[in-house]
Amino acid sequence: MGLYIFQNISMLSAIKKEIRTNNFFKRAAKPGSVLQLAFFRILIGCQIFYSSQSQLFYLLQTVKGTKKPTIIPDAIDLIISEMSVHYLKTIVNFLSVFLIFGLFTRIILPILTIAYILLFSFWYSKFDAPIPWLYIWFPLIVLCFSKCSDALSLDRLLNRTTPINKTSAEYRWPMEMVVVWLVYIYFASGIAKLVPFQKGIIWFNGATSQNIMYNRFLDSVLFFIFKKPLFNYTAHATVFSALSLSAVIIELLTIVLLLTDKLNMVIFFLLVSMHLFLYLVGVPGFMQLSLILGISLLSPNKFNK
Amino acid sequence: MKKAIFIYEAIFVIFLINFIQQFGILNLKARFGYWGMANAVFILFWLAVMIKGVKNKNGFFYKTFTLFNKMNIPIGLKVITMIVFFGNFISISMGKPNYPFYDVGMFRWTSTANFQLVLYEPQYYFFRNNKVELVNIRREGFFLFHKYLGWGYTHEFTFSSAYHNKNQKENFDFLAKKMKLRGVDTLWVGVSCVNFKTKKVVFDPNLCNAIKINKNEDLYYGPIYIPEYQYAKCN
Repeated sequence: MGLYIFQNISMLSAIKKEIRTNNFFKRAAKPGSVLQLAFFRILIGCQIFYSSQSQLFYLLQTVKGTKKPTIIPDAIDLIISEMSVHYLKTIVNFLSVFLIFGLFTRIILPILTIAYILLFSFWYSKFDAPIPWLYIWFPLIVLCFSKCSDALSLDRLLNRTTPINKTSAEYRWPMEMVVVWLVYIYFASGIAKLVPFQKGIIWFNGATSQNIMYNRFLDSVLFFIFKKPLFNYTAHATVFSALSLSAVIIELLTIVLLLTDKLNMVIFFLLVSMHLFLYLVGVPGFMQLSLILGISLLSPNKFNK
Repeated sequence: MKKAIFIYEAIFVIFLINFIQQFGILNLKARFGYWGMANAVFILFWLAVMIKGVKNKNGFFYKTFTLFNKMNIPIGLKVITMIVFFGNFISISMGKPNYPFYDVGMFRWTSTANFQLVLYEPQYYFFRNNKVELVNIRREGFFLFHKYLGWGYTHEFTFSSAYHNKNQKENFDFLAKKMKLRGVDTLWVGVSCVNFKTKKVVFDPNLCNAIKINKNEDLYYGPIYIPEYQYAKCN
């Protein structure tokens, strides 16, 4: 009994020490990787290029759409929707290529960020889901203040940047800020399912998950591959309840990322698994976005080898 | 007490969010039932704890702000991060987005488990060499599975076209125009149907049956737009 208590006290002390030495604030000052940050920059650029090529911008200009609230003043909103979508789209497309190749990065990043936020204001206002912009806009702002073109870039090739030590903390804190953003997205999503509490208790009956899988079955990858349902989606409420509980646990678990990076790979694996499952059952929009932000969960040492 | 204050403040935040979402900040007509009373008591108590923490230079919020201020990152980013943090916190608390601040509330709603064994989904199709070819719009967003559309027809587009705007003529005209560029002259509406008990999936191209099901059945995101020429052909 004494040994059990001793072991538990030792474990608690170890956890406290880990949190004290390896929390987000401490990690942001630790060595980073110029390659990791550069790789992230390229992926963000690719995602922006891909999203901004979407035919949705043209569709939204013809259909009635929604009218969702934005912080953009109505007058600017009107200018965007009436005459500027095409120009903003072109600017975002063009500048995202510059971001991918890392050319004039310091100059184009703020312009790209503003253009992106304005363009996707139109997207969100007229059509509120899915939301690729949520994963991208704040990391874009972080990149504006970072040295993200010190490697894998034309800026580097043309000596337009003056790189510092390639493991400097200057390359670490941007990635840690992205971790914070990832935690916000998933933790907030978990909280949204739980509160108000009376609604949260009902949510765990799994009917929402069942509703999505049931109604989207004919539009799911599982159907495209297997051509028939693998089980009866109208029954087995316990399965859907378990899936709902798992989703919330995974989302709330992301808070641990702020306290330590020891579980980064576990949480990365859980998030990717969750999104892969959703991808297969008819909710495909978040898979690649989670993978892109997930780069921030990888240890810089993996890139410094 | 010193270390427990962190936990108290975290609990305070959760109850505050619950209270705001349940009753609304300015909802003076809200009935303060059991949950409301319990929440109000917790909020007042933990608010007192938090204020004490700030006065004593202790507590989660005070410590976090101090540590963040000490970080070696550009001051501009610190200011923007604080704005973004508070904007998102308000959105999360209210349970209401205000772009770009977002409560990340996808799939937060509750549903009733009332599922029919047979699921119907009206879908567009066309004839090619006297054979029926089905256009599953959502399928077109997948790189490995798309058949007719291609680059640019992202998951967001297919979600908008297949679900949100499926009942609009403008959506149909947009699709028809794109399919015409690919040599498809006329789109019709048929019905895909899956029986979850027998696990059979069939597609019925019958025009009149599609109109009937589109009108009478409880469909996901409502009925699809059926072009006038289909109604005319059916009549």
